[in-house]
Amino acid sequence: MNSKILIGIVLAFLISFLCGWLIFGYLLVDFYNQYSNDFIGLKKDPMVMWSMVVSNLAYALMLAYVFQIAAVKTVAKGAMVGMIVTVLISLSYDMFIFSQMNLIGYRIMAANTVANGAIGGLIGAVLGWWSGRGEFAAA
Amino acid sequence: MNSKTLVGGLIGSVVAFLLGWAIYGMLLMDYFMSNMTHYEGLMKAEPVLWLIFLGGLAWAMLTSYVINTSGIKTVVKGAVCGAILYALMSLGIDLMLHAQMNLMNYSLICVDVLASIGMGAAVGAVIGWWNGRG
Repeated sequence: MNSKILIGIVLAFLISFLCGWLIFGYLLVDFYNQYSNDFIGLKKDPMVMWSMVVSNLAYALMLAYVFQIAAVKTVAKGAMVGMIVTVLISLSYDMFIFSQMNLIGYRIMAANTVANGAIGGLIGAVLGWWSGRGEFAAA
Repeated sequence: MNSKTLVGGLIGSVVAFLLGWAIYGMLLMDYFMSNMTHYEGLMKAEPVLWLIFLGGLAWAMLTSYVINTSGIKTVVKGAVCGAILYALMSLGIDLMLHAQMNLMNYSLICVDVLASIGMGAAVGAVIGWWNGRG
């Protein structure tokens, strides 16, 4: 693992964490509270921050791994790959939860998919740009 | 996504569904029940199977997309790729849940990630074989 990949992972993590905080922890927090069922004692308050950080790191590592093996090196392709990968993860996560628990409904699934798709696209674009940086000049 | 990716994803999703049924629905069922915190009304009486299949389909489609885009055409490379993807997705999702809910303990997270690695390796191996076929 070279420094370019490491920096890519850090970039992906930072964007994921900050966008997640902004969108899910700030902009959509009322929406999520309104449309998800509450069970006494289920939700942690405050949340476990290290767990959230490592979760975002795992996601960033996965995106960086995908970008490396798929040789994604442009902003446009990066945005597309990032969006597809993230939408599929988000959909599967929500479907697994929805299939077994009375916790979320279709509204939250739709909002999650759109928001995560946007975040994934943004991270992918940045990772694509970062991966291809200097390649054309070198050629 | 081309047809090879789509068919690979479909084959992978069938493997994932059957393995998931065997691993989570039979072998580890009691273990999961005894290591999760229970809340009245949280769990559905019967899981919605078609949604579980669709959830597995999304992961398998993602694996197929990555394997296809990366030009992987062997069982071994497919298995490695699948195992890495499933491990990171499972870890990310479990820790996201752990960060926000009193639902799973650490032991359960570890077992879930290990089981996911096994499932990912199997799904990736089948998709790798499918891509290299002919």
